[in-house]
Amino acid sequence: MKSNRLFFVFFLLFALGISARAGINKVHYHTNGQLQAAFQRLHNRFPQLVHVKVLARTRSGLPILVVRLGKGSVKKLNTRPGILVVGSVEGNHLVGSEVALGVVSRLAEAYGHVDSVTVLLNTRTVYVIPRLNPEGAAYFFRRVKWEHPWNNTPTDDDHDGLTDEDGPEDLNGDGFITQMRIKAPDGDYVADAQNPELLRKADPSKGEVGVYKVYMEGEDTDGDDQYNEDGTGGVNIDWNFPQEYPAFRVGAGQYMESEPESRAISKFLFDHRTIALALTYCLHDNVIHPPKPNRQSGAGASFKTKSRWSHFSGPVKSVNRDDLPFFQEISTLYRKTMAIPANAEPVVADDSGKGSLYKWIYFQAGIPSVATSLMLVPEATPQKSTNDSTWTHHLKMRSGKRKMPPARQKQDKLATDRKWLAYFKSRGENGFVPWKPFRHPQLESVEIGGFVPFARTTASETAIPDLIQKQVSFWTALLSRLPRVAMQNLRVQKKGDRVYAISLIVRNQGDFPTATAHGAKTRLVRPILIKIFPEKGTLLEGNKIVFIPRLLGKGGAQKVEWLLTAPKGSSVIIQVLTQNAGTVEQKIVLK
Amino acid sequence: MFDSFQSVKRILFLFVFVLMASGFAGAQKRVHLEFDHYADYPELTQELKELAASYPQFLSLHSIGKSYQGRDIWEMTVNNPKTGSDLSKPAMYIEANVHGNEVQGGEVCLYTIQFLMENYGKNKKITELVDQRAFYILPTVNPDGRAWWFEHPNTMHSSRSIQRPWDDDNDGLLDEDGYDDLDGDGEILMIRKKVPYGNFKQDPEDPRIMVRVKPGEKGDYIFLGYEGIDNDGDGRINEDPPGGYDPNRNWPSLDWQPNYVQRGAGEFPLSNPESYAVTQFLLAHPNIAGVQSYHNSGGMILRGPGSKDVHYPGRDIRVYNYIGKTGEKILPFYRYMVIFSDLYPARGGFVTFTYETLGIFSFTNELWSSKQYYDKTSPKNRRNWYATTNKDRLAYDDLVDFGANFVPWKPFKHPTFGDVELGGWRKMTNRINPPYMLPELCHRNMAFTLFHAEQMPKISIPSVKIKKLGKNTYRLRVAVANDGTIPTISEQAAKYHIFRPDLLSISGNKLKVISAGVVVNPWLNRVQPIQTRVNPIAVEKGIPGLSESLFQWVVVGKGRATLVFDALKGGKVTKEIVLK
Repeated sequence: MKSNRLFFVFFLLFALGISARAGINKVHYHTNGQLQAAFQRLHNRFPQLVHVKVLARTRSGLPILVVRLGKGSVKKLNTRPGILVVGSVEGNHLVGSEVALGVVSRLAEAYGHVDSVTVLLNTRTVYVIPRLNPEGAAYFFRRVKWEHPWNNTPTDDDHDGLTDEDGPEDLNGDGFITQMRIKAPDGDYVADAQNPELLRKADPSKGEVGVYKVYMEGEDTDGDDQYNEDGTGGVNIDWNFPQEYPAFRVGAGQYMESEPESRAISKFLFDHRTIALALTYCLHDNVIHPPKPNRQSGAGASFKTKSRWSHFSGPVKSVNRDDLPFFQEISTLYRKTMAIPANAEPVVADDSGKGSLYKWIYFQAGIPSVATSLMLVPEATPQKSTNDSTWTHHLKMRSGKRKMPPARQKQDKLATDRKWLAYFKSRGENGFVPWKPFRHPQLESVEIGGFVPFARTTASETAIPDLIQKQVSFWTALLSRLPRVAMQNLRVQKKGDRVYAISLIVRNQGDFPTATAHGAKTRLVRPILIKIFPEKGTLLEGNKIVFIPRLLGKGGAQKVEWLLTAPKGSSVIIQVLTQNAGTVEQKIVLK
Repeated sequence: MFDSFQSVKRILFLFVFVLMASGFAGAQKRVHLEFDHYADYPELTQELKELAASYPQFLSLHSIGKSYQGRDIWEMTVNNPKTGSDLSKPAMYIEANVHGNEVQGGEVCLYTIQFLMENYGKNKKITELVDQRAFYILPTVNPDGRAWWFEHPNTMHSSRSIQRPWDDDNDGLLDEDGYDDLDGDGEILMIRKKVPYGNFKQDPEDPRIMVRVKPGEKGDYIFLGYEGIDNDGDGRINEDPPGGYDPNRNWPSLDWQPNYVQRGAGEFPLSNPESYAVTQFLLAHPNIAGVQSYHNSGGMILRGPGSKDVHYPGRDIRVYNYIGKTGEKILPFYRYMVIFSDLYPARGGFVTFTYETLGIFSFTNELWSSKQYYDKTSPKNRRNWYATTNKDRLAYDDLVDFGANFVPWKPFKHPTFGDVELGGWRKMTNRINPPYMLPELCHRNMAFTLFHAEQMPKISIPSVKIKKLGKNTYRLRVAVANDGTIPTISEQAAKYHIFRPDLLSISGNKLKVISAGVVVNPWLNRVQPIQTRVNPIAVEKGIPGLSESLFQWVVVGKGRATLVFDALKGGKVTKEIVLK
């Protein structure tokens, strides 16, 4: 069993094996131009199914594509419930673009051959923004590889009045921007005891004295005694959204939504309110570790002021408690579809997700948001299963001892790096450049080395076909679980002369709720509207429009009743209208 | 005799004037605006064009973008090109009318343009201001809102919004049920209905006034809201009027929150075309060093923060307090207040954005206080900005406005409610000052804003002390002074690296800078060395208000050298020196 799990990790990421020499640098990902051409070719093959448009352009003019997948015209597709898939939010995470391209292509090919896919593409729309940050992604295709999560907006990172004046250089000519370390009496880094290749900050409280100073590889281009402190660009799109926006962090942008990329997708989501769920491929995760209960769940802390208007609430930062089962359901689905081993850890960015797209989608666009990096940290020694440890387990604990769940164990910051190092070593892969002395023009005697750019954030090309295959299942699973309202048990009872009672049950036949609890609270997912239009006569009881904020999945239902006075033989039309769960209309004749 | 001489003179003068106006090299008749009424959007546009044509050497009118409905957002640049381009000077940004119904700020803007122009060359202070500063003046940043308020029957409150549809009642339809002028009198009035059991009654002293019944008392009236019908047949009235945004909650200040937290915020920061256009203008004019926004009403000089989540640094608060407190002297009836604690929490506001995110000192004036109908500034009423009662206002309307603004209750047959009465205030009152008070309102608010503009940085290099250390080696001590109250870089901007530091540079033939430092104490010779770039020196905290900073260079070279101090929000000064 253990070996099985181990196998899965490797299978998932590097399934078909990769020759030791091939290295990450030989992967043939699609450049921005190639990606656009590939989607264009898909459109040419399936003009009725795949629609490619330019959503917006970056500051430097690169197109950001949006692809619609579904049978029919764009106009028609825009009226159907759908999902949105976003790739390459950070410039150093390209696997999402490739997987998105692959899945769109597989689904288009399956249309007309696989019934379930045909049905989905006839009734749903898949929106794909395959590469939100083309400027950042372009760095992957340069001769010298530099992990560049940002776009290319000029920034003054070191606040000296100049923008982008001192970026890194590939001094040793190995094609990688890695690191430089220099022995210095005022150094603040020491070599890790377990892996001397890895460096970590010296901890003075443990009596450690720093040995090294660490810089990015390069020269002091602008002569200010700082090294590579202000390279090209930019803004990390995934820090630029207004949910818990990390204001003034270097790389977060001048203000929220300051970038064309973030504005474009925000506008797109608000212009396409039929989107019922978003899947973001980024360096964040909420599927392997779904959100956990939190004391502040769902409640924006209210605050007091001297003013009369003290009822204003504050920002909401944690997932609504009522939405936790939904995220747990998604997690279970993801783990099953992707065959995720129990102890697996996702590859994620070293930040808290503040200002990220996937959080913004849930909290401020009001729709369910699923985020995955599609990558796992290699696990050398599988540990005890923690599969059931998520929220159901915590709920058990809560109901028993009223104890809050422990925070996920805070790991040694180097733990992940050690695993990667061991992994590269065990496979003889070129994932880490060993430290080698180098004569630096300014610093003189330095050593250059460190992780190969993209080695830890970008899946190898050979792993992608398998990821695509599994994501085909995941996308179709999401699509087939979307909410779907139905009108049931429509009854007309004659209560007296010209008096009729009408009742019906509105039911959600989909697996997912029509809106998350938070989505309903934000009013961004419109309530289900039940409208009644009597041809003649008037309502005696009940409202002309009934609002149902949301219906839970798997059969969530609500009864609606009216009392009506109308002549015999006249008709009544009843409509059930939703934003992203379909529309039903029925006409009845009063007898 | 005397009379006919006068009239001959007048005719002669007229003749010369007509000759000048028509004949001489494009000399144009100068417009003089009278501030005795409120200008709707077309008139405002016309007046701006006339002003620009009257003073072409100082004024240039630009459209910085279009509103949702396609109207131009006008911006008037006031600048004397003989003293430099507008971008080379500290600039005061003045705007009004972000809320569609808060119109009189537009008049203050027009008044300011005209006053600066008519007094240039006559008044020393005004001449200096126009020569040393640039002004960017936007009389309405919500042209659709202004147009809507003037052109349609409205209340004094309808509406703050931009004219972009919003689904207020979340029924999937946009702006489908707004107010209706049922009696066709051009006003949206209140509806009251006489009923057997009500929660209101007529005031025994004045039946026009409705008072809420006390516990134990039986009323005979109810209010049924503003004039309107159930346009969409959903069983509700006026539940989705045009718009629904609060254009002053759409700005990326540090505390922006979406609509479910902050009503009116819109979809995301700068999602409105108007706020986006204004922000693009602000970003393209980094020389803007002061911001003033005019609203109505209540008689307030407001500064941020807009919510308790944000804290302003102390040194900036002292600058704010100085300007704000002076404003209370310039503007009787107005009080200097903090938005979230003294008024109400307002996230994503404009002046909180320009200060918190762009680092510029910014005020909002709530123009006109109904306390000004009478002097209601007794100590008891000082904190209470809504002090005037309906009774006070009605008495004023009767005695001073000759009943112009209150429509007495009149019977009306409502299609849904049956027999009702319509009556109440017209839109052009309570939030809007009587027109005869407009010139004073314009002048005093302008005076406050020009005082603010005067406090913007005024930099100079008053002295350079040169000491010869050895052959061709010198120590320079350069003093940079700021005669404005406002620092070249606000503490907020310095703390969060909001915009670039000021740059002090030296250049000369073969001149080489060996080291640089900040002189902490010139008498004790305490100098803090600069460990990064030595030329130009990045002055991260700028030059504080009314103070002087000393910088030191050790240089090798000789002969002429040029010193430049370049502040983004303080302009650029140059000094020539000779090393010998």
